[in-house]
Amino acid sequence: MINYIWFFLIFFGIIFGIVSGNGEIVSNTILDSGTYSVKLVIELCGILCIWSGIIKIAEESGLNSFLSGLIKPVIKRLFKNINKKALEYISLNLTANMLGLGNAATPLGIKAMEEMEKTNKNKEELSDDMALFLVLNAAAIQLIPTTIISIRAALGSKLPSAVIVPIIIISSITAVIGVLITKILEKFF
Amino acid sequence: MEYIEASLIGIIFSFVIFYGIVKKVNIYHVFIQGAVEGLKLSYRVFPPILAMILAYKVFSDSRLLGFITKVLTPMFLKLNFPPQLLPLIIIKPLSGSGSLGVFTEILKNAGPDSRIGIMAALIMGSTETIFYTLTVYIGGIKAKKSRHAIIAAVFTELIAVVITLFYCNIMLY
Repeated sequence: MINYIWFFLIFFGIIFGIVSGNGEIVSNTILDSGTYSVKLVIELCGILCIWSGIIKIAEESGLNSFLSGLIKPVIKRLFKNINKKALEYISLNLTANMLGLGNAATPLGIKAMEEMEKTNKNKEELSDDMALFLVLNAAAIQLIPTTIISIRAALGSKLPSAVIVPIIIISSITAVIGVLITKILEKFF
Repeated sequence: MEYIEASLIGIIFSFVIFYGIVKKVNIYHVFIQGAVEGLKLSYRVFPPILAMILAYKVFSDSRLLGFITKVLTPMFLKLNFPPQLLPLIIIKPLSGSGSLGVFTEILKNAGPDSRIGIMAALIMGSTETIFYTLTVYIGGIKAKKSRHAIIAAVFTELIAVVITLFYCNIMLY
């Protein structure tokens, strides 16, 4: 899919540019984007290092397990048929995502799916719980959207952190609606 | 409230290092370790960001984006939704680092604090690279029939965009 999108953007971009008399601009753009990307990544690099450092402290100090303890009661109510281990992995996966620990979240998510498979009655298809877990991942509640703040800062925003609270609000509402829709949809599939 | 929002990064930092030192974490050392990971991350995201910025810049500098935007504007205007955000919504579910490139370009063109810039950040923050997540998580287990999972997940992404739109229509002029 990403192949086709990339192709579409570049190929039709170039064709359109040449036909509409912007051939020179397009040629320059192709070369300029290299220099521009390097500049951007260098500007981003420092801010990303700061965030990665602070996130690492959060990770090492067990902030993730602390948070996952807080959401466990909610998870327990939402899911119908999960064992203790699955509950643990699901909570840890979701809070790792909240903290932006992408590398930690993926293995936890895979383990959560494996545990849910054990209690899945029909092994051929995903259980309601598995689907719900995937939807909760899609809603992506993020407490500290580090890369977004970094890019906003690198591009000279007056208040890079201004998006933190709105993002939490929007993704929380999304999560609630997503869960409701999943609970309705599971009856029809 | 605005002052708290402006101080939020400081609040997060002080909370995290305080929690760390209470839990007897070697915070200085761990911070440095994390910063090394940040360097590696920058190294890793550079090629996809480059690839996507290249594609997006060709797409926009050739005026094709402007042309498509112009065609779509009447439709999007009714919803008060900027058509410039369309590429982000299409790419975000597919590629995390690729969408970073598009996100950066949108912010650079519209300004990070403009209405479009804020909307882009909110969409970026409240959606997930869901096709990647679905592939990895479903790929690990035996069950092959995914039932309502994919529809529900994609729908949830769309909801995030719709709520962003509502939020921005209410909060920003």
